[in-house]
Amino acid sequence: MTQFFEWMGQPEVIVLGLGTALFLALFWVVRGSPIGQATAPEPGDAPPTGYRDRLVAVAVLGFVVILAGAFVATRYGILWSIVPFVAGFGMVLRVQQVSRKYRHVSQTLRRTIEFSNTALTCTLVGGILIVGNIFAFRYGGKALDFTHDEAFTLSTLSVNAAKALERPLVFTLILGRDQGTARQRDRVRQLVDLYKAQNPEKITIKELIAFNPSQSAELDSLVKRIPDLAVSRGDVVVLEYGEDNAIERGVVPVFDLFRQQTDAGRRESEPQSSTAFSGEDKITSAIVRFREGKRTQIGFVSGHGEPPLDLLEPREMGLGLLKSRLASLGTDAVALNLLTEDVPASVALVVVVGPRTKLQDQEVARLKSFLERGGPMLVVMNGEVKTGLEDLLALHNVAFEPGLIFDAKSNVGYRADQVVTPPLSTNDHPIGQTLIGQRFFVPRSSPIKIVGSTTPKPNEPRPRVNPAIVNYPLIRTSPESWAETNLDRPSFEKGIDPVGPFLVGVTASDRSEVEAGGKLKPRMVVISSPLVALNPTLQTDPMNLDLLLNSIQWLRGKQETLGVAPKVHTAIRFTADPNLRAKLHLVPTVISVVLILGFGIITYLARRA
Amino acid sequence: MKHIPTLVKRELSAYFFGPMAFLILLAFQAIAWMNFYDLLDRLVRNPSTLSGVLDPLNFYISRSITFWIALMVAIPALTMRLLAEEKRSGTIETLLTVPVTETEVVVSKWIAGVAMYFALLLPFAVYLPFLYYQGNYHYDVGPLYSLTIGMTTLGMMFVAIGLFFSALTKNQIVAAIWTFATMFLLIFLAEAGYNFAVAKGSAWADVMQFLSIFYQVYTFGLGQLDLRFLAVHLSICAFMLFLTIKLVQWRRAG
Repeated sequence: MTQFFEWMGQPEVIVLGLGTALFLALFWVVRGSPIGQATAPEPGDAPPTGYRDRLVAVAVLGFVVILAGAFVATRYGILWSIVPFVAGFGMVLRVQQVSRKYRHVSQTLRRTIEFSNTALTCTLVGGILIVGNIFAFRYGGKALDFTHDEAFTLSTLSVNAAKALERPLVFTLILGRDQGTARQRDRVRQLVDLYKAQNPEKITIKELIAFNPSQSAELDSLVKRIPDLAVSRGDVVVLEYGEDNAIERGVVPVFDLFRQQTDAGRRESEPQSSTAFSGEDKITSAIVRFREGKRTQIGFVSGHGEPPLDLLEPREMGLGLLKSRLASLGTDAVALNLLTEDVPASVALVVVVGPRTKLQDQEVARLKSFLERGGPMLVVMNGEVKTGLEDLLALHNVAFEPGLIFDAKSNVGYRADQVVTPPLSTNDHPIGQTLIGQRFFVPRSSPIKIVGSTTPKPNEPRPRVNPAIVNYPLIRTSPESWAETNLDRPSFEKGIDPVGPFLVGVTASDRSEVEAGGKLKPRMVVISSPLVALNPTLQTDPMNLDLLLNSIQWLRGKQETLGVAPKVHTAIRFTADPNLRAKLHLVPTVISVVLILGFGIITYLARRA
Repeated sequence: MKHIPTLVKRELSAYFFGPMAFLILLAFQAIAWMNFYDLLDRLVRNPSTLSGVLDPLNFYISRSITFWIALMVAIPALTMRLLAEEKRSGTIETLLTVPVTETEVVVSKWIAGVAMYFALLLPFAVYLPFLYYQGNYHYDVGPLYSLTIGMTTLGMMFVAIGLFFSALTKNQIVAAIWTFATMFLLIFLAEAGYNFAVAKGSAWADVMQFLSIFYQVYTFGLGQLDLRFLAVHLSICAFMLFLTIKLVQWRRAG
């Protein structure tokens, strides 16, 4: 019995049933009486009843076959539908042709001709509309983006990542947990819609409202599957990639996706406010991580007063935010004690962040050995402390110049040592390409010198330059900055303090090792602010996080996964004095009303005349 | 089709020879003025918006409830008389005895209705160049293009629906009520249905969202032009015109 109902539930059986019912109904209407009942008598010149009935049946059957052809086209493809379409149209046209000579003598056949005409017109119009809609739905699924800043266009990286999905990806938006992010929900919804438009077969979107009792069971089940969800705050986007037991999961908090552009260098009086939306970067990173599968390790050198990796509180001087963001990219940050062990083979990259004491020779030797094995290194420190890494930096043509950089104009909180770089204008380097227009917060940074990039003064010894290394200047401070040499009295002294712009970020590539595509092998990135990666700094300027992550991905050779530039929306405040506001209201209104009334009066007078 | 310009002229004259068109235009002017007043009020506030979705310009048309209510009243009022009045007064018989086809009659009435619909939107368009040039407020004009295209196809569809209901009956009020009900269904009920489906976690949420005119115009106002929406508008418009032509033909055939 169950099998019978299953069989009955098949679309083909349902369509067959509907087709039969339609045939019987139309046959009744066109013939003038149902099957089994005699039709009204017709004049003697009319063809016999059986012949008339057969013509009516063929016309109606032809129409039903045309409709069946539409079903075949949607279910099995256009090619398969050609046979029913040809058969259906052929039957209707033939009946029309045959019946025409009897139209004056047989009322039934006159009705049959009218029915055939209407059926043909309807199917023609319907066919054109259906084909037009099929084209629009198949090729017009992605909306055209008319916005100036391309707010609704995904980057090539995101499009490729979405299209290349091999398994199902489910976005679950958990909303209503935080009123603070309520204003951002539509933007997030629209973002995940853009991903779905790229691969509708693989991507599904669900929404769960936290305060909706009917969805609480589903929410609880999700929390059980993803423990991170229980501790995450506010609205979140949950990504689940895969099926059955092989599902990988990720959580992206919504409040992480939006950030007000740093206030540094911008004053409250300015009539505009820019917001960067980095949702695409975060979600694409998660998708790329799902597809990469295997997790990699990044070693953070420890034991010299470096900030701890596990401090997550935004105010604490730790690297927790960087670590958690690395984790979302499928990378584990681990502490390295180079006194007790060599750099493990599983570590793909070594990071040095702000050591406060000198590294021992054994540690430096282990780092050197790692570099000689081809391992890349990210160095985040200034020249204040002699760390013992100076020789390693020199091998990459990098040295710190004396002094700390101050800037009286571009800074945070009116503190000249809390320097902010000017917006990155152009940058050919892969790290900087997605960061154009962004500022970076580089407190307590030292000027960096690329060794050999300037001609030595007459009495200076010729510097030793490593010819295998190619350096690229990454970020600079503003021309108003200066390098303070006397920290007891931090103010600009003309003729004593060197004047900016200073290089505060530089890359080093190895020209002796050329990778596929002619790219030089990345070896080192140096950022001369030891505080650049700390939680409070990232909280002040989240763009620093993008700079660090781009550097890490570039050093790992994952250039194709370098971040997606955030979409910046600038809200402009309208500044107008009351006089201008009144003009803007009144002038168009008065003009329009006068035109409408004038036209009305003229019409009235003309009609009266 | 050579008679269409003459017939369109006749229809437009019928609109403007009475006071109704001017009264509706004045009402739309008042609504446009109120919306613009509200827009300026929003624009002078401190910009704290976190995304383009909440740009104050979106509240001028696409998210303005008064605009939608006015449109739901104006379109039935403009289309109800197109064929129903001809039938009631008997002029349809005269019209169909002159050498014009049913298609020409229906298409010309539809063109006149669409022209009148554009006239209703003009008061809203009048303020924006003033804001841009006189007020020196350089907003993103891209979304205005998508909104214009979307509102055009939408208006074509609504006028075709109104014309169809006008062809169905002799009674103008009945035609207006049916047009209003259809528009209400597509604009507000579909949106309410979407919200209900989302709250229930129903799989129909996507379908309801797709059908919701309120949502469609909202996306046009944001600068997204989904060609599927345009295809649906134009298909319904063509289908409704086809049905109207068939209705007039059947009536002519007796």
